[in-house]
Amino acid sequence: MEENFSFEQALKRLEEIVETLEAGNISLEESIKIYQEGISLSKLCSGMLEEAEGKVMAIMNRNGEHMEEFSISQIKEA
Amino acid sequence: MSNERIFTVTEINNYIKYLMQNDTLLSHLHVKGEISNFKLHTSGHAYFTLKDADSRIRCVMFKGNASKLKFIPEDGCEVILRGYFSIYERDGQYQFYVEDMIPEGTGSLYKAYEQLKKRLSELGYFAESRKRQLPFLPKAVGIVTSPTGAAVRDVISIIKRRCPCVDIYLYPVQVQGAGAENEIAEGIRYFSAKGNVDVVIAGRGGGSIEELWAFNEEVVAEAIYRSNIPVISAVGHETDFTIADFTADLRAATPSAAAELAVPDMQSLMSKLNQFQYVLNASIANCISSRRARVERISKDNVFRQLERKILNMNQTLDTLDKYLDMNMMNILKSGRNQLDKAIGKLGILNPESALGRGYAIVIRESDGRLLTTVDDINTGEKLDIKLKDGTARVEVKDLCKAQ
Repeated sequence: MEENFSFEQALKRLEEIVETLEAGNISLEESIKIYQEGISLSKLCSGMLEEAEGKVMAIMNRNGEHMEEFSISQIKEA
Repeated sequence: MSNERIFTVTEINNYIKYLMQNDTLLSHLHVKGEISNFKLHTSGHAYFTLKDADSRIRCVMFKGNASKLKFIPEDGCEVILRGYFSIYERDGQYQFYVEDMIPEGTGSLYKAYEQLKKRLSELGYFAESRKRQLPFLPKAVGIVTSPTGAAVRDVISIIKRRCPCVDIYLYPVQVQGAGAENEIAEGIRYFSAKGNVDVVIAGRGGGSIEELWAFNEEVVAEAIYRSNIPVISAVGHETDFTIADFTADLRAATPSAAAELAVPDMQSLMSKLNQFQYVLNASIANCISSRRARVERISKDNVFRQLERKILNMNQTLDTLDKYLDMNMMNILKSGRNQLDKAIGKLGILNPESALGRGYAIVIRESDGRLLTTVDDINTGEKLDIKLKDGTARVEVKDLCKAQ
């Protein structure tokens, strides 16, 4: 949950930075500082999205200790 | 007979109609029975007969009401009808004008539904204030649904398409039939206890009210209410809400819609991020170039131009001075040279050796090599060396004669 939170936060902060930078009424030093922050946030976000493909598992017993890979190709019509 | 008023057929039918329509019972009531001779006219109006073992009533259901039915009535269906009685004047036929029809058996379900809904609402199950925020980008999604059919396939494939990095855990359950509600509740409780997902989708594809019934059971509502993880209800029906829909943190009209609500679309997030990067780069470039332009503008300012000119002038002065310095240096060096030459010339004249060439001689005592300038220093019999232009003559002193 922590990571999701930070993704959303990172995206929000990035949005703020873009707006601030676009408005352009801050000092050059500040601009460069937040620009660098923005670039690293953007890389952080895309890194999270480009994570390895997630797995699909089916819980096979009631206490959920036994799981199996589940593929949509094995779904039977109801 | 002569004293009594004679009515026309129309008049009497109108009167009976008036009576029926103003009767408190006949103007609004429920009647149960079995449908027969059901006909849906091309106009959209439905005509049928409601009967029981001994009797029958002619019924009509106009298009406006008939089109709202969620099932297609058939002959033999046991139903409960709501409506009013009136008369069709043309035929003098009284009819039941049907406003709503529910299959018998579901009548008690509806009642139970309304009662449960009221009770849970009072318990605060549906309160907006307790609805949890869904995670923006869940790491894992739990699905509680049937492992067969289109619903589960749609949910999985939509999540995978939108956001491939998300893990999916399917808790397969019966979604209809005896005990389905317990399985669904168990699935929700499983994810809540395990905490291995960030959001749970509980639902099924569309079906009749009886097929969807498990989602109207209290045990499911309670599992959603007590869940530690946000739950999206996804029961495939547009118009009616199930108890699960009211209780869920978010209600989706279909399982596919639930999948779209559960995870963000990675493609659009990516293009958003790319756009952000573009704007960042453009802004910083703009920021720098606007400042560069300012610097250039300022540097063209008069003060700076004058200063620049001053500096150029000073440079020129410096160059000139430098040139003078060079020239002076050359002169100094030249005159020095002359003096040196002169001195060297003088030095040549003063050299005693050069006097030898002009007939002078140098006298040195042989015994101690001393240069002699006066006869006072010489004794007779001493040996002297007389140095001439091209050699030395050794002599012995015979006699000394001092000049007067």
